[in-house]
Amino acid sequence: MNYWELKLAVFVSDKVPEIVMGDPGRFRQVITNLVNNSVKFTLKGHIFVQVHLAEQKKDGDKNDTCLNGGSESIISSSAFHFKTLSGYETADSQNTWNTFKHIIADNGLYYESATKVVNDDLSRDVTVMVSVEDTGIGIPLKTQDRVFTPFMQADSSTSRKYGGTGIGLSISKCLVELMGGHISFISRPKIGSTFSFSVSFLRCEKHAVGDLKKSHSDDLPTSFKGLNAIIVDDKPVRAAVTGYHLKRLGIRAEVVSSIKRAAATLGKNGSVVSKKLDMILVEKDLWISEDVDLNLHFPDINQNGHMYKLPKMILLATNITNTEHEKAKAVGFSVIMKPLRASMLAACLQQLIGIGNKSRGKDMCNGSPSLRGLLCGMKILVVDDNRVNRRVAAGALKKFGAEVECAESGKAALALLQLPHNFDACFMDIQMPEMDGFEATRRIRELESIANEQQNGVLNCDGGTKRHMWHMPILAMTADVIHATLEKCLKCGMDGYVSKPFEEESLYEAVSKFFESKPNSDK
Amino acid sequence: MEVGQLQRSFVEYMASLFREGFLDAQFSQLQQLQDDSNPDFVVEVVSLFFEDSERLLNDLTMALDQPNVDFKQVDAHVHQLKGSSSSVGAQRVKNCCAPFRNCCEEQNTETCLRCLQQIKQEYLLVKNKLQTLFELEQQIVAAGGAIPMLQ
Repeated sequence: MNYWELKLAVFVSDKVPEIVMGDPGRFRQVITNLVNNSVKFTLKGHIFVQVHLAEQKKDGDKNDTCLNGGSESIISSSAFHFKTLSGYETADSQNTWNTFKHIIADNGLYYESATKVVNDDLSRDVTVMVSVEDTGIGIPLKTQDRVFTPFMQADSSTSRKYGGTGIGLSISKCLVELMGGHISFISRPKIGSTFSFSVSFLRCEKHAVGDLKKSHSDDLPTSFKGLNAIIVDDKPVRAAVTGYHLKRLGIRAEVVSSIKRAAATLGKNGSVVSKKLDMILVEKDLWISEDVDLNLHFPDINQNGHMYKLPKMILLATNITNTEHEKAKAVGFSVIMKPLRASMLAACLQQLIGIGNKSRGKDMCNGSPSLRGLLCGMKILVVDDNRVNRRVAAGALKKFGAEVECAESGKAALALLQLPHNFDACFMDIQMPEMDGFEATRRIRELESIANEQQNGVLNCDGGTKRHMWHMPILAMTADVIHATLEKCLKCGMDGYVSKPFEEESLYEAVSKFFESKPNSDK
Repeated sequence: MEVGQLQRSFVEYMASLFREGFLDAQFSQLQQLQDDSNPDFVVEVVSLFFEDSERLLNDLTMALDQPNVDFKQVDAHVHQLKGSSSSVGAQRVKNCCAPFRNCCEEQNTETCLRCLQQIKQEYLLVKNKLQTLFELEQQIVAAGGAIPMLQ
């Protein structure tokens, strides 16, 4: 059973006010109960949590509870082509899609960060609807009527197989009703369950929340506001979730349903989109099934003498094998793993785009935000023959979120750097016995140029295409930062140097230089 | 001794180590790298430093005891010592290394031996100090207190 393929996502509609008054603990308790249940009983497909306002359901009377669980309509499409998050059918696919369609239309994926959503509803109450949709085993028809009864589980073997006491849902029902709401579900055995509940909150005047603890969203960086993205995804619900997370960072996103279409948009000379495009996010399953190289469609760099900044290519995946990862990187993609969280997305984007908090304040606890943004998730090789130095260098880099491996000699480093490898950068000590840092770097560059020639050789036979060249950033670690040493470093193919032991400022200077010109550079 | 007193002694002791030049800013950096996911980082790194240094000091003693001293080898050892002392912030040990390397360049056994003597002394001093510091830490923890962070 491949747990990796279970997709988890959340989507909160714009129209839900940022702050409402109510009981956060109980609200969280109900959501946790429902999501836990889904996690327990879902082995494939997805778990999708949506939050929107009750008024947004424009489809008439579907607010009523539907305890019968059965559905008369016959869905004729094949198993994986439902308009749901994972493509799998859900208990109430048609209905959910109808509702969601309206919600995303309301939100609009063209997000104008400046305009506030105009709320013409001046009543004090706001009713928030939460639904938790899963593609799990569902609830057997004959037990659906006692789902909210305490201590009743679907059948006697449930507690043995799945654990639990059978009391969660009955507590949730009580809590929801105490909060002035309503809970219901639709479930189809072997297809899934969708639990929905509503809660009445009070609206909140902005000025009344002076001493309220800052919400998490206020910690998101603001440096991405106004950036433009294209999301390449043929599943509208999934794309909407991606768009939602980008929107939280202030990034405008347009959705396109295939790489071919994206390529067509880019290819137009002088197209406004391609000129201002900052990033392209492609879903991995599309990239695998379509055989289109986006690199071919980026306009020429020096068109009309204008320096054109290539948009960053990002691959979104729930799971990825090493081979796929390598292939993606070779073509110029950076991989971001799902489920998406705005904060994680921001950190990855910071390292790709090189924007982010450039504050050099004394924020030493987790490493400065800027270094964290650059190094987070990067795989780094530290080469030094002194084990104290290795340990300290590794500790410092790990603090900034990097994944670190160490080698104790030039020779050991070469063994680890046989192509293809998945290191993002190398910090190399210069003075080492047997093979010093200069020699080791020379040899690494040799390996790279051989591999690059081979790639080019093969490609030229096919009529030549632009490909990503192997060039791993190598930084010298040296205690003696004299000019002569730096010259020698550059001559043998190093990209720069850092002082040893690491000093945050100089580390940032050195690292930000080459990470900014990644990933489409041909050095 | 009561926790508050222990903590005050700890802070004072630490401050004196910095003031007297035994430790420098790099040692503070090490302390910053210690956190919940890496709770014994400083002790671990310093222990490695002790092990490495003692081995190197032995090697140096042997190398300088040879009838025909291999100064390149001696220099290589001092270079190592400079690196590790620098990485842990053992300032006075580190500062002994540059003059030592000059003596190696001049291929002067006399002066090298004097340098070795001095570096051994500094090493033993800082080792002593750090061990005292770690003991104080342990006492604080045993008494239920938290280790104060120097700013």
